[in-house]
Amino acid sequence: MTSRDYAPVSGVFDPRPAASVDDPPRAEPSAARLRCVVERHYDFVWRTLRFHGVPDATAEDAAQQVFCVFARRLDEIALGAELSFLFATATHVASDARRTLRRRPVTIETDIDTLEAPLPSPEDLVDERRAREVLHEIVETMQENLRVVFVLYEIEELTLPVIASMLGLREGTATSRLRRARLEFKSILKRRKAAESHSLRGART
Amino acid sequence: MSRPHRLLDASDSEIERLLLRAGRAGAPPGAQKRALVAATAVLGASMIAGTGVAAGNAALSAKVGSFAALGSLKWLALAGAVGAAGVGTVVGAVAIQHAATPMVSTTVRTSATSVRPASIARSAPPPPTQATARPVEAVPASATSSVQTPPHTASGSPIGLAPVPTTPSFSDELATLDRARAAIDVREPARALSILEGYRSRFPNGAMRPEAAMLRIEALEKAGDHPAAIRAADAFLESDPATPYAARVRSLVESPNP
Repeated sequence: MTSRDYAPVSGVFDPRPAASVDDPPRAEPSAARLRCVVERHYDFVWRTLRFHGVPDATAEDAAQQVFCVFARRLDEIALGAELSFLFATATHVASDARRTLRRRPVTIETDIDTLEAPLPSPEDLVDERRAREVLHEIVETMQENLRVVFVLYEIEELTLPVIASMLGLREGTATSRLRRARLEFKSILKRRKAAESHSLRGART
Repeated sequence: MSRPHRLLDASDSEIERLLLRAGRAGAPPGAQKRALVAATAVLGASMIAGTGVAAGNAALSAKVGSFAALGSLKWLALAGAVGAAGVGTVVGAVAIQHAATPMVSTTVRTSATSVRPASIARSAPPPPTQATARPVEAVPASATSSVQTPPHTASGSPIGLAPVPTTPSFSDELATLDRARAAIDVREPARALSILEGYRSRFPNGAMRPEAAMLRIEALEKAGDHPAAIRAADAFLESDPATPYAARVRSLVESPNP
């Protein structure tokens, strides 16, 4: 279904972590399940938070919050539905985080940086960290319903049927949103390239 | 329906590929993940989540400040809070220290939230618990109960204020409590009590004494020694009435598991 090592979104849950199948089974199934879910999905939760506007400095704490909610609801979450639950919880947590950030004073410099920054050159984007920053900036400006599908498909490499299931959409709707999301992504890139050209012209004059 | 190509594979734009490749490669630092895994090992999901319990969590609004205040210290706290009406009380918390940092405990206090009914499989979760988290000076020292054992020699001073040597004793503490937890889970409370007695001897100033005391109360209950569990719980609460574990301790002795 994906090149990433996600637990099945449906099907029988195997509480054994992939990397420790030889370990003796834990006495408490729920603890084993929680442990397994943390091991398998922590990175996914962290990326989801980052792509939904949680700053790098606070993403770990937000991830912890997501897993606390997960632990509380563990017995209610259907086996195989862990990823869906984590994703939905992470988006809620990210939404709260964004509201918190909006309540804080925002400097003019930040606004300008975010909205007017020209696109770095490919040479600059070879720096993976820098490239990721730019990607986050772009994705955060996309429409919410398109961004979700875009990230799950292009970054998390989930399949469209799985994404549709996670989001409660028909597969055709998910496909349509992916198409629109790609157009928006390219459009934002194009605008930033134009900003870069404008910036360069300004520098020459 | 044909499966669309991934943009990373199909795009003819170098910039698009660079951005998407970087996005896929994004990964968090591994320390907190390891700490979370360790926390589940020590206390187990039931103790973290509890029955009818709202889990504690670090509030985003507070965490920035708290983590900044801690400087380079990196902390993780998992907590379970009893979901009584109104503000819940933290009943289970474990502070997990990232490697090679001085030991200071963190307490998380949360507001309780209502737990929505099941049928979660495809439904969205509730809005996350609105909580406040604040680093506290220390988690209170463990119970000084002496049920079935010689008097506890711990000073009773709050743990964490004095730097505790980190490696490898912290990992050993975790492992010891993990074994005790496992023994309780498989209904071998006598073995759990023995392990916890060993913990007390080996780590007289251990960073996880409150957790050990709580496990001990649970083990006493599982062993059927309710009076001893009551005494241990009383001693625990008397030593620190404000302990965040109070509700959990009370629930252990008031509604002992069969």
